[in-house]
Amino acid sequence: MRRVCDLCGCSEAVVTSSYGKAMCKDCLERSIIRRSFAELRTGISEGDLVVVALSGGKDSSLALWCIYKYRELSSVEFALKAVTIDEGSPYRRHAIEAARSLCKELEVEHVLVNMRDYQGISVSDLLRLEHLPNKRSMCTYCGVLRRQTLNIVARKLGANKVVTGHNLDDIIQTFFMNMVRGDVNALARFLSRATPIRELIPRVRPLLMIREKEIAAFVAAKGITAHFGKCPMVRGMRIRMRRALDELEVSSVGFKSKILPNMIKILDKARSDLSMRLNLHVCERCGEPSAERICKACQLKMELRGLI
Amino acid sequence: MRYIKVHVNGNTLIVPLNTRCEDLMKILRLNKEAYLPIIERKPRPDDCYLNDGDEIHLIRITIHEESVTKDEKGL
Repeated sequence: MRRVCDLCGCSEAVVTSSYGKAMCKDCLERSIIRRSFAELRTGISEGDLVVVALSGGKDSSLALWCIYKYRELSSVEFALKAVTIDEGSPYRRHAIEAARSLCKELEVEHVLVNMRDYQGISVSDLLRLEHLPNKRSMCTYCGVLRRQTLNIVARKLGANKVVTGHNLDDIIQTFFMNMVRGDVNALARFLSRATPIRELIPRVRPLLMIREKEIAAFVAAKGITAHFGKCPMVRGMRIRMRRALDELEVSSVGFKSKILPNMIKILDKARSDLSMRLNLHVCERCGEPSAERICKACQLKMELRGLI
Repeated sequence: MRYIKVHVNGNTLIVPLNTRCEDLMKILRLNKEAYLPIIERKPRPDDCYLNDGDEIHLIRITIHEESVTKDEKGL
């Protein structure tokens, strides 16, 4: 037998945990259920209509699996739907197929929407441009427009909660990126459970406390249908931040897990003691949630006027 | 020193006996946080020892590089 689990001592281990312990599939499953259910318990209430943002990748697929398990094992009754946004990127075809298959396996209603129908542009339109305006990266357009489309679709479906597959790594990267940019407004809203305006559907992140590597190992070991490919267009600050944080995790085991509770503590304290307020309005042009007078999606689309 | 032969993503490598997954990733200059080792079709922990003849797939779970070519974009 290969390396055995440090927790049960009897099964073959599949991953090294945040604290350097080797874990088998069953112990990892228990650990993932414990951590994700803690988030779901505070985020989901009886009678909710929950929409899962399902890209078909490993993170959102596990988020759907977790909430499916939560509905099965807890006494909380709520409706569940999955939404996949096709932003028109050539690499997404396999992920959309995986999303469709997983929903079929779990018998969850799957809604596939085209980003162009809501935003008037798609990633394939942007790929035809020689350069994107203001040296912006593709992630800026894709992320902003997809996020807004998800909010519109969730509201249209009557949802009052949106579950996303953001994991521990994503959250820490975003925190540090906002720090580097000095974006106080974004930091004030970051991980807040408050809903500043009714147009914004509250987010629930069941994978908040789970490392990306644990997610990948569990999805592979458990055989959860998911696409493992990475978007080839990803670039910008997030990659550099990810590399730096991964290097810190390797040299200081448990760094990511240890820093998150402290981040939450600092943000909560700042929100209550300082003047960091959740500053959100509705966009003057489209009526969607925005931190500024005109939302980021409208700003980006205005920059593209005449180019597409 | 004794050596073993392993197959990594289709390439054959000769590594010292008692090499662990994380040692292999260090040899290949890969950050172990960014890759999931699949050995003999099962995910394994980073400190798992490699055996002679192991079929290893290192699956990239995050992107660490920014060099994106037109081919990679699928154009």
